[in-house]
Amino acid sequence: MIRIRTLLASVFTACTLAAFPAQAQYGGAVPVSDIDPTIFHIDEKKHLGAKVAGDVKLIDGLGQEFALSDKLGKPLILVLSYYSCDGSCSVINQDLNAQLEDLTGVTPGEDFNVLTISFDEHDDLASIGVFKQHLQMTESMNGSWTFATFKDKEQIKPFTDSIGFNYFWSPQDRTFFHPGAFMFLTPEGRLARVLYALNSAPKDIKLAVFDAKAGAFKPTDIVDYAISLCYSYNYAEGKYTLSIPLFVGVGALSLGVSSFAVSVLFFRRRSRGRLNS
Amino acid sequence: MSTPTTTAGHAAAPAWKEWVLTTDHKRIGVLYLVGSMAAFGVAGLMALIIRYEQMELGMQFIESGTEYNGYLYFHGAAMILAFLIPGLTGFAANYFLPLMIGARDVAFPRINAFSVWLFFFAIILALLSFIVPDAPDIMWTGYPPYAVTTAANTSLYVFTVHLLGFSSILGAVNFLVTVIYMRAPGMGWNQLNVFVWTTVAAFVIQLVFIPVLAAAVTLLLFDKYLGTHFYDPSAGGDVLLYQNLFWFYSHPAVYVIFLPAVGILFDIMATMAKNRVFNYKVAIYAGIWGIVGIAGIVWVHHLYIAGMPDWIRLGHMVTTLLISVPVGLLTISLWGTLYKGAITYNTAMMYAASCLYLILLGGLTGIPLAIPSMTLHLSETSYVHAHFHFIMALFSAFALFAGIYYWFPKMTGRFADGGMATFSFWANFVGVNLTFWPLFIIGKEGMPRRYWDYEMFKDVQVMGYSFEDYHLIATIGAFIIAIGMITQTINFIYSAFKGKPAPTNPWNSRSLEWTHTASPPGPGNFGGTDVVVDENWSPYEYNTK
Repeated sequence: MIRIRTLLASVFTACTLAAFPAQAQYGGAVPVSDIDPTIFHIDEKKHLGAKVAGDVKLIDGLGQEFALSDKLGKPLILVLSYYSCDGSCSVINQDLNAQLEDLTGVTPGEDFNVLTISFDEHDDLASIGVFKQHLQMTESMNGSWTFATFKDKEQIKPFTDSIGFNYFWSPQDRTFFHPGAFMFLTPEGRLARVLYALNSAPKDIKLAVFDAKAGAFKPTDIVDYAISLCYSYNYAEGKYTLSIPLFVGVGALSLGVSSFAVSVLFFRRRSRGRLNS
Repeated sequence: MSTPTTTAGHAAAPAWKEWVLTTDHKRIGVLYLVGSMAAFGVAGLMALIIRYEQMELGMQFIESGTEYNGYLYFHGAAMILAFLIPGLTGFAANYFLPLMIGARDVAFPRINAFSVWLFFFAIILALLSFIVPDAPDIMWTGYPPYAVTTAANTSLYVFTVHLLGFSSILGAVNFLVTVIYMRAPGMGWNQLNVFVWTTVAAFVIQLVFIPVLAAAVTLLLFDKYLGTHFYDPSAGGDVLLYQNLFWFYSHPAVYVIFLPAVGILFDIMATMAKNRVFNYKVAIYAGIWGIVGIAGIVWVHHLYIAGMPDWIRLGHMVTTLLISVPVGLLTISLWGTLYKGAITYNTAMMYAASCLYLILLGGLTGIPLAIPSMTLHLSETSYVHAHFHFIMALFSAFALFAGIYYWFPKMTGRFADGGMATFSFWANFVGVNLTFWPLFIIGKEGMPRRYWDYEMFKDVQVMGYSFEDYHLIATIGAFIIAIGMITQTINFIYSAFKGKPAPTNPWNSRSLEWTHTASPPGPGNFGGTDVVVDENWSPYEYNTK
């Protein structure tokens, strides 16, 4: 909770600081934004189920080359950021980091992998290092979370387009505008769920991991899996909410049985009454 | 002209009032029969319209897809909810179950009367579909999002389901208490007619599962008219959950129809073959209760193409195939009951025997639909349509007709057998085969269900014939069925008043409804003497060697 507050405070501070130049430029008037807000969302209707290119080559923070498919085989939380970002990227990754630390029942590295890839072709090993240092990740998280860049810059756009991740460079703001999304891929690399930074809780992360597992779970996970069935993903709110119809349906199961029990009691009492009279 | 009086000297109520206010289970049974047959008639008319529309490519009779959907809706909803279930668990159970167990009435006669009138209100509500300008067009399944977004009147569907569901729950409670507490003294559980067992099993299924359907459609109503989003994924709802809740009841509902139909067959076959029921205890405890035990864990095979983890598909494939074991045990018992029997082939027995063919065909064609890899191809085709008509609609309707012919002398004191009965049986039997075999063939080739036209298949040939040719045969079959059913209805009405008088026990049955009651049975069923049976008594006491 403290971490979330810290993150929110950071975002607030960043926005406040950013407002000073804006104040100077616009003289106190609130500028009308001409940015299409849909850019900050991934069109799930269109892209859920889309398969990412597993053969795309990436380079990690140690300079080692690997294919995206090397991180698959289990669910993968994919974050697309850029490492020279001085705005939301660190907030997005810090938020995920904080949530993963509070996660129970599923373990990063064991039940799923985490991969942050930069979509900025200018990022390199040095910027990965600075970015990671800024995140102050724990050692355990370090082992299961890979930060990488694309080896072939030509693959960036087709890759991001394939899962509906839109972004653009604003020369005026000297920043990329992009969604703050956690994209959950199935072990086969299909987009299964999208959550948004600062809008999700560890519970949502866990449920999204279960969704990405596509029904595969260990016997020890059976209780967690059963609990996951009680929730459904709310596309409007970008988080999981209790599935009320399921509870109504299960509750209804008892209606017939209890009406039978009441009838038996009534019949027996009536029969006893007749015998006594 | 003198006023009719009762034995107590009071003025007798007019006949219509006696029927409207009756709490006699036999009259209530007859009311269910009349209501369900009326629903069958209208649903059958819808089927003829559907078939006529599909007879040729292009528009024949129907002016829009919405209108076609309306006919599909009424046909499906009326056949299942207003004909098969009330016909078997309403009519047959009401009239004969108390007689079979030696009870003078049911446990809660007034509740019984209330449930039949709920049923009639539901039928009236369903018939309103023909009057309101925006009739429901959501099939009998009512799937969202279409059921929510359609301009048609989904509430008529929901309230019809509510009334029928409430009626069924009341009926289930009533009959379960009746069988548990009102059996004739000395009558043990292993001395019950198979029909009683199957009806009890059907009511257990109704009691457990039908509230889930009622809950599911209530939330559908809220989504459509109150703006909630229970089934709207864009606002946190779960559209697939409706399908799960719907089929969680509606697949077991197949057994609510199937089981009493099997029970009727057992009683007819044992009587007509003068044989004991073969493997009685296996049929009851492994067959009937095996079906009840598995009925609630097979529904997902209706959703194989909806997207789900493979292990769920696999699990439900196993349970769906597994349910063929108890069904197979019941079928073996039916055949065994006929084995070396002195079989009397009357109309009831002809219908019953044809059910052995229908269950075999319907059962075997269901195997591919239990297997996900094959369902992916066959789902939503007319193959499914033909399959469920054979295994559920035709099998159960033929069993019900068998039951009506079998018990006709008990209900009216007259036979319904004769030339018209034989003609109508053969017309129906030939008609159903002509109607549904072609649908298997073109369904396997991809003919979709619920389509009012099939322009996209106009150049496809199957075994040298076009889809249109197969649809033509199916339509001819449907009209032959119509001739059979009209003849049969005329025969029932004629025989009820002018039929050949029947003795009290024309089939020499050992079952209590034949041996201990007049035809038709009077008030109180058994005259002045209570029925008592000894421990050796059996309703199938034919060959005791």
